Amino acid sequence: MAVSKTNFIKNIEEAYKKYYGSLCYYAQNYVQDAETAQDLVQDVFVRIIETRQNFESPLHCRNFLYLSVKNACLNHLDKENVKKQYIRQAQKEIKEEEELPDDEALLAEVFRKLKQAVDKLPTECRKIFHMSYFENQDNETIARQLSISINTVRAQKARGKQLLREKLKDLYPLIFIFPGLFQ
Amino acid sequence: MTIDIMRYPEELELWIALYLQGNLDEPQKQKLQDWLNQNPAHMELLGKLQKKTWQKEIQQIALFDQKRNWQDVMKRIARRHRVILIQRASIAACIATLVCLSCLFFLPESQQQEPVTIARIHPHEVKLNTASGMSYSLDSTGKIMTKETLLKSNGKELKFKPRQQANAKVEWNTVIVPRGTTYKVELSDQTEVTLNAESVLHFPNYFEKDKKREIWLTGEAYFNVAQDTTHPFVVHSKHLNVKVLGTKFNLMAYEEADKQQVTLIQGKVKVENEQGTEEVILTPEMQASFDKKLRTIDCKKVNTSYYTAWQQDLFAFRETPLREVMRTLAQWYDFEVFFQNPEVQDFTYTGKIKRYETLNEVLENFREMNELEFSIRDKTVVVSKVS
Repeated sequence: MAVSKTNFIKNIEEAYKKYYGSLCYYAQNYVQDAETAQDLVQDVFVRIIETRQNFESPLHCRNFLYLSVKNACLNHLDKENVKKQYIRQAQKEIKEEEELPDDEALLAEVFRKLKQAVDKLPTECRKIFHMSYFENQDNETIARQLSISINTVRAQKARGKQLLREKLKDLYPLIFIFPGLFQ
Repeated sequence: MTIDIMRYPEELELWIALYLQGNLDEPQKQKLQDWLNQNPAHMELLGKLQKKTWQKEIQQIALFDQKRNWQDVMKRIARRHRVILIQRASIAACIATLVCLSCLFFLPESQQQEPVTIARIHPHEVKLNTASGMSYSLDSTGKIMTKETLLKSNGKELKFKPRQQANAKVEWNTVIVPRGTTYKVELSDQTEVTLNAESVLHFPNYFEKDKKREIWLTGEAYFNVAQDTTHPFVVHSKHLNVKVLGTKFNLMAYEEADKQQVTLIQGKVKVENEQGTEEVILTPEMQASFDKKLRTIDCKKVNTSYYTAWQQDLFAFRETPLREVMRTLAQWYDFEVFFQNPEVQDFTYTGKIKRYETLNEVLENFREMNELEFSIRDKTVVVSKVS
């Protein structure tokens, strides 16, 4: 399928916006240094643009990205002579991009989608969610800071959870193929 | 380890997401449990999961997302060639140096290896075409009498004499050097031009008085320009013009190469692009490099020996992408190249290799690095990555 160059770059930019954070997060499983992780991820995108890599589907694109980041990390480690043997072995085991390369990639995807779902919560709900789950504040503190009742905090948290569950269903549309999962 | 690549069920990500929040309902729990029981590797995944707090993990992702900037990627594309070359070259350089040392010191060990497939080509003749439409072979020794000039060729070199009579007619000549050989031309002002393989030089038999000395080059040549401050010397190539006073420099301007390069050995030159909109002045040991894709001129200090080594029957590469390496080799062994894994074209190499009689001997140096495989069929070299 011929895509114009501008559109091609636009698509890649979209993918970059969507996956940058989770790919860097994933890369950190291999290279601890955050700067290096970001460098490697950016290079993967450079490479895609330079080779005009085509993707058959969004899923193909996603899996390709995770696999490329993994390979980039392994090559990077290879260069630094770390665990050379292990890496050569690992690289051979990677199949085509038919799925995510490993557990870590799967987890990175889960966390990315969770984050996406949280980001889409209504403002008030998201604020309480953040304070409660990310900053580990108790209901009382949250209530005081936002000048609302503890009951409202509880209600918002429950609503957040419910909404999150709904959002996740949107994010995993395939779930409707398995009607038994949601009654 | 012989675990197959496990297939993740499509809904696994959702189960995990819900599991993390404690939101998994009974049927889901059951399905997840079934999957976990299928394979110890699946349990391993759950173990990894239990070590993480999802809130913390998504905060890490958020931190990276804050630093996300598409411009970083765009800048990298502009810069990339240099960056990656340096990385790879650091490995390649050491190996290449070792390889070179071993070629130079332990040389012709009689090798009992596979029979030679591509040998250095017997070059076609070097030709001189004149404006009057005549064509002469320069391989034989002897005198050549063109319409206007008497020339001497010894098979390796052709000399033009300075103008004898003030009114002698200016006639344009073209010297064509084929693959597999070099050839030297001395112009009427005593400027020496050594032409590398597959190069074409277009020049007058005399330079007109009170005018610039101008010549045209496709391919690669080393210039030792006779000093004459009143008549600036200009070499034109497809993308660059080099303006000089007395000086020595190398101009690489092959059509198929990614870059055109001017490397200054001695003196001073001004390099400008064809439109004259960009120019740089070089001092010795500086190199101006015109990138055909980006259409920019870059300057840097270089070890000039790499860029003039071709005159000493050496191949010299300095952070050179494989695609360029193969192009250079093809000029001497006359073959076509096919890259089985396109990414290897960007591997870079640094080092000097003797210009062996056969291509196989040259490729042996690359094979030793265990990165590449070469197979030769007819006149095509197939390059693939060692898996």
